[in-house]
Amino acid sequence: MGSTIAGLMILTLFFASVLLISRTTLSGNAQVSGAARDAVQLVGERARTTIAVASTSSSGTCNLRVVVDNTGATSVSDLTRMDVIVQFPSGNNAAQRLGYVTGPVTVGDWVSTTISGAFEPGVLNPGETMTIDTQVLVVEAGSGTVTVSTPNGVIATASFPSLTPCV
Amino acid sequence: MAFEFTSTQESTTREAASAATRSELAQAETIIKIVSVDALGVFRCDIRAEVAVDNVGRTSISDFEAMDVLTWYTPEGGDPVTTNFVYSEGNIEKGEWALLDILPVNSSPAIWDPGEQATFTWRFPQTQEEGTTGYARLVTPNGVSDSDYVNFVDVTAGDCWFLNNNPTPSIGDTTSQATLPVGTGLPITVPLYNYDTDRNTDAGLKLIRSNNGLAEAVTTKYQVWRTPVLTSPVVISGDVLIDLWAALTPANSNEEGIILVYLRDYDGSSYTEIGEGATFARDWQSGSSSFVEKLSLIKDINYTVPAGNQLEIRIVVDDASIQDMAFAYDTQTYSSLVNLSFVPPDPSKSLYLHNNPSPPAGNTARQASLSMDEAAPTGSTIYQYGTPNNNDGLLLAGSSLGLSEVDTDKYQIWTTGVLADPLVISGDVFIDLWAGIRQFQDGQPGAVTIYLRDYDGVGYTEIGNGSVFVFDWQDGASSFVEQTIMIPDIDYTVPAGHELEARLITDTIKASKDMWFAYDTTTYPTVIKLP
Repeated sequence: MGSTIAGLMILTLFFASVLLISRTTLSGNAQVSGAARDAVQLVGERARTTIAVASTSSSGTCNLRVVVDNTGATSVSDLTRMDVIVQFPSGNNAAQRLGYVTGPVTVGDWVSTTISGAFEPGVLNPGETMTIDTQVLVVEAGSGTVTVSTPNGVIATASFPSLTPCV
Repeated sequence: MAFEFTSTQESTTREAASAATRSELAQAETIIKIVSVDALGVFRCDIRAEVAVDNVGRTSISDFEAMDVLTWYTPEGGDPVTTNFVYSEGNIEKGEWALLDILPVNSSPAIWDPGEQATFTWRFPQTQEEGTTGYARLVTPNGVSDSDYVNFVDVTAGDCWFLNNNPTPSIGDTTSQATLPVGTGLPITVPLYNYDTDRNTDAGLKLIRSNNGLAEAVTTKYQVWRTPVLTSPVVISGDVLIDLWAALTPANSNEEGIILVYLRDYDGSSYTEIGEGATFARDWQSGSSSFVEKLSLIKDINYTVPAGNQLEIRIVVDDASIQDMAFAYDTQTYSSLVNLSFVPPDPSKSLYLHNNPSPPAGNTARQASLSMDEAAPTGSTIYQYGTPNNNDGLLLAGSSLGLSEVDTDKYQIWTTGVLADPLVISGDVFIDLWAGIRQFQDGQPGAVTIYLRDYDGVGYTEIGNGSVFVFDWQDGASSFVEQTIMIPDIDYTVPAGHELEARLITDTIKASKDMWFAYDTTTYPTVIKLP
């Protein structure tokens, strides 16, 4: 009798283990395949995203204007996750990652001043142009390059004319 | 056993995941890029978008029905809307889209392969607000999209009924048929088939000339098109545009053609005539060896075809034509139609015909050449422009010689003078003409042709010509009557240093009479409207 009960317990434990392993495996597979799908989707989105810097201009001080065309097939809606980075190849000016603001810019900020087109205001859709205004921390006159990046990491780079300190 | 069970489950899951990932991979490798977006007039009826799209990805697309086509735009007088267009493989109705072609043509013409360019078109259900922009988006079956703006610079609106063959869209040659359908769908067929294999081997439909007009009963001499039985009344209010593609057979130049068009209301047993008009050209072919588009108006119609009835369009080639004529219709290129609600477009430049001096201050002798410019007439009184004369305005005696006419009593010239800048003419030219039958005789036919030419100081280049023929020009009026001459689809630039010349003649056809012309007054502002 005792040996029978023990046998039943062993069998129960065995089947319970099998079920647990099976569920764990299934769950793991689902998570892995979901992650794979997300990754592939991101790759596709990235492949369809293209931006280009149409022009850069400066009013002669530390104010830098960058005009960016959405030449791709995806929309950029979350502007807060875009990056605007300025670099100076020489001199004492430091490379800077500017911070996004929605109001007037101060030194170290960038703002989306306008987006062309009437469709979906505030979203940079394919075929539209965004004007970015920035103020760069400049300690001495110098020119450099500006890099604009979409939230999914697609970048466009262009040189900009000489900037001078604002103060 | 347990291991096998687990292994099988894992395998199934992996396969499912793998399939899903393959789908995602295919999506990742799908990229389309809009190359151009145009808003084009649909034969003066409404606006369609035409979009060329490159497949710049690595996947082929074939399930077009599963694609989405959307456009955000602003309807006239309304708020912006987003329209999801419906896929069509037939003639394109308003609110529908279709695939026009895929280039280059290869062994798989129905598949949009990487490296190929597909052209799509769609018709808008509502008229756009002129001068606004819309935003077009195409989405592939696997959810990849591209989008771009479309500019509605010039918009047109109308109620167009296209002449169809049966079956429509055309899929091949047919025998002639006594009654053909007419529908609102934009023809999608590319080739022009032979519509009367029982009569000849040529493309289109041939009609033999007739002198019986509406009474013609020989089926080789007339053709009837009818709408389906109307489910709601069709209101016709204003001018009806007749837009026909036809050719003389043989297609000789310098020969006139005249087509009679009758609009009738058919209630299943009897007819009520709504209106009739004529499409006439002194030189129908004008150098072309193919079908030529001609426009004419049936003016001032005010009629409602009730629900349950059918609108009928009946066409006869008048025996005043020098040749029999062939008709082309129901194709993308040759979309012959009737526009029941035609509104002429706003001109970009209007050239008013003047007398000399201008504004007129008294009677003058006939003058070989007069001026035309953008200054609207300011004179309120019309004088005799060609003394000795027996009426105000200018008398032009009838001529059958067209541009070859040398008798100065039978033609009149207006010029712009030497142009300081190039003059671009791109589109339809409308001439609003004030004229009357000599003595303002009622019940008499009148015919007028105008030639537009580029004069470089030495020689002429013909830009285009248009004519109007009206059975009863005066129609009870005892003064000058306004008619419209239309010259479709001009594409010409008069260079700086040249002159634009307009030469007007009174045609003699079907016993048409000498005519008086009025211009250069606020009451009779005869004008050439350039697109």
